[in-house]
Amino acid sequence: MTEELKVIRPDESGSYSRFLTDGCLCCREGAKMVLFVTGRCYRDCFFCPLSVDRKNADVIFANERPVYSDADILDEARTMRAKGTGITGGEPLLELPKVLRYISLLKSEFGKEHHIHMYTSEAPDEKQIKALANAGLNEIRFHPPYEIWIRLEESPYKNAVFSA
Amino acid sequence: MEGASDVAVFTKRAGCFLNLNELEFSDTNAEELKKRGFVLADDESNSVLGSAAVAKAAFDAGGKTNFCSSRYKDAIQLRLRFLRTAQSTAREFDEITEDGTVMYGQIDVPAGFLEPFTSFLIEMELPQKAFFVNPEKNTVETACGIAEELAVIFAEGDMEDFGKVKIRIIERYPFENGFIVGSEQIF
Repeated sequence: MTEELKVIRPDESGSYSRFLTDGCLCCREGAKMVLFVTGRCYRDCFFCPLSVDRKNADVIFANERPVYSDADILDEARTMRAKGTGITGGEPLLELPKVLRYISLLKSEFGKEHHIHMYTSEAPDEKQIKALANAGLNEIRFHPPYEIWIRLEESPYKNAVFSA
Repeated sequence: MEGASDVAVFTKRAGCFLNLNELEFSDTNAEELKKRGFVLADDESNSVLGSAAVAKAAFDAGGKTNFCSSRYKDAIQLRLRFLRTAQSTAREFDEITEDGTVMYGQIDVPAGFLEPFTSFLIEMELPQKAFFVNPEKNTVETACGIAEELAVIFAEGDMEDFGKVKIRIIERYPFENGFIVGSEQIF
């Protein structure tokens, strides 16, 4: 399904791509739910855009809806008729058991085709990656700290990328 | 940001996907960004000046790359999600805008007048589906057109029976208690 684009296509928002993943394609339909699993994070990036009520707070949101139970997540997914979910934070790996449970919940409720991707600024080890893949995670996106962008080859992110 | 092209070289070699998000201002990072000399690219978005150019250079390094602009998040991601949501949440009388928000008329009725006002609407032969009575907020919600007609009736006639009624056109996010984008009082 992943789309290799023949042409570089700018859209009306000024975005352009040579390649889009299934996660991107789902978002471009407006069909991706954003599941924010925690505001807590190991890092303190100066450019972090999170709002005051989310940053470093132990809160969960499905899109704009505060989550107090699994039912809130499923309700929100149904309301927007979600075809997929993007798991973000904060640092989702700080809540790995919760993330694994949410992946299973969404997959069992909406089927295997419900596309799930996750963001992390950590370099998860092989065990963590395996657990996420086994739960059904479709796509993982690494956001290494900008200080090491120039030396990713020597960083633990190299191993994480190749394990994924 | 510096180093984006180095990341592009890495991902191209690894054969993996690279998503470049445009750097953007928010309420919480504005101070830190300004301190480092970053400025807004224009008045219409939250884009940081120069971020798109850095991303373009990384994009040109080749590989499976996508540049996701700051405007994409509002103009496409959020807008299309709202449209999908509105299609399933909008009531018969809600008007769905091209931004995916909903518009309707809201009549604020003073406490105690909700029942007589509802009877008045029924007398006017307004079908049940054409309005929604909210006893918690003491309001009646209905189509913009009907709200406008009511505003004319109230402006012209002697409608003292219902006390001090307020009529507004509301635009809000397409879900319960959604953020109110606009509110214009028409009576």
